Amino acid sequence: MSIQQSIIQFIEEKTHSPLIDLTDNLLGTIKSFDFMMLMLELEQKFKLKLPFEQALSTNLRQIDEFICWVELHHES
Amino acid sequence: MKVNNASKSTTTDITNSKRSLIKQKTISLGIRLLVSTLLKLTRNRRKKLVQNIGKTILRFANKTRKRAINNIINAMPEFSIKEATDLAFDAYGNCAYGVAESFWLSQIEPDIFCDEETLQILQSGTGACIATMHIGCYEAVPLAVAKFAKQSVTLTNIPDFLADTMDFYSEVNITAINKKSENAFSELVTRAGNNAYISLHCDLYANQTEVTFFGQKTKAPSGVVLLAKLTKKPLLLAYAVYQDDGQVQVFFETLTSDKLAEQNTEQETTQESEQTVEQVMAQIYQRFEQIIRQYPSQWYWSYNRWKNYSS
Repeated sequence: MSIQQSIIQFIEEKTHSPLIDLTDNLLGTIKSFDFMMLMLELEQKFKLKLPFEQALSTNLRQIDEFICWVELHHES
Repeated sequence: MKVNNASKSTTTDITNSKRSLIKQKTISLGIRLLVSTLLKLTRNRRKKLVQNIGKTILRFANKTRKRAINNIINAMPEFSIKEATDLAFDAYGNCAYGVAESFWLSQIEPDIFCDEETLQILQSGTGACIATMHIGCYEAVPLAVAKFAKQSVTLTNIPDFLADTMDFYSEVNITAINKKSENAFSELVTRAGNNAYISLHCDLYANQTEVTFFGQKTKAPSGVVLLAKLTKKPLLLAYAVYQDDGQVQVFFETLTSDKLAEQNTEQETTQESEQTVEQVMAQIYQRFEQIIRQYPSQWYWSYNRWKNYSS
């Protein structure tokens, strides 16, 4: 499963909604606790080291921006 | 017609917000007066007075009292109803004093206990996440941290009427982040990344991680463990209790750190060395239970701690 699919599936499970708008604010969609769980799950699943503090910066608010950011770390 | 309605509703909103502001200011002023009166008393007299106020409140708070007694009996079935009732009153009085002491933190000089490794973590200035509990003097843990580190941060749930009296934290170099504020989580993470020491109470109920507490399954907030894992900071456990003479003692223990992880890796070559969130929470709750059994009259028994949770 790709990073994008994993993130979307995680959000769908938490929100119980099959229709995720990727331009929505990530922290407005899932709880901060779930956000931390998602980060940890991504780190373990894709053997990543994500700079956690950066994940909350202003240019990573939307779900699609967050997906790109994780993918970028995966590629590098 | 529409314009008139909108204008009416705006006027009502302004009046309500003015009323609420006046109410907040009045309560805040009342509390300031009460605190300044209490501060004129000796510490012993202050303690007795606040404890008695707490016990009197519990006498009239039927639901809270019954919940505390039930919690005690469920947790420690060896207690008789009388013993449980006496303990509920003692604990409520002690906790009232523990909370009240937040208003004069600058007067508290806690004795601090920890091992060599924990001391190194506290003095290193590189930050840590600290799991703490509502026992004894609630805010003495961040207070003790502030004696070692520049950045002692805690999350608070301060009611609106107390928001402008929050300077009792800054007076003793504690940064208190209001849980209700919109940016609370971002601020917490940013500070964790900037090597702050973050103390978070995690003995309440939260629909997060399953734990066993006093032999019963329940759920607990595990944000502190996740924060430690994600920021790669050591995880400590700390609690503050009163001695018979009123002196506050703060104990720190290391739960996870790079050093401990190295030791574990050497010992467990075949197993996964890093503990899961559930495993660390189980460890924390086992210690919480031991600490509460050691100081049962200092823990706040009136929480709806076990709720109606069943796995």
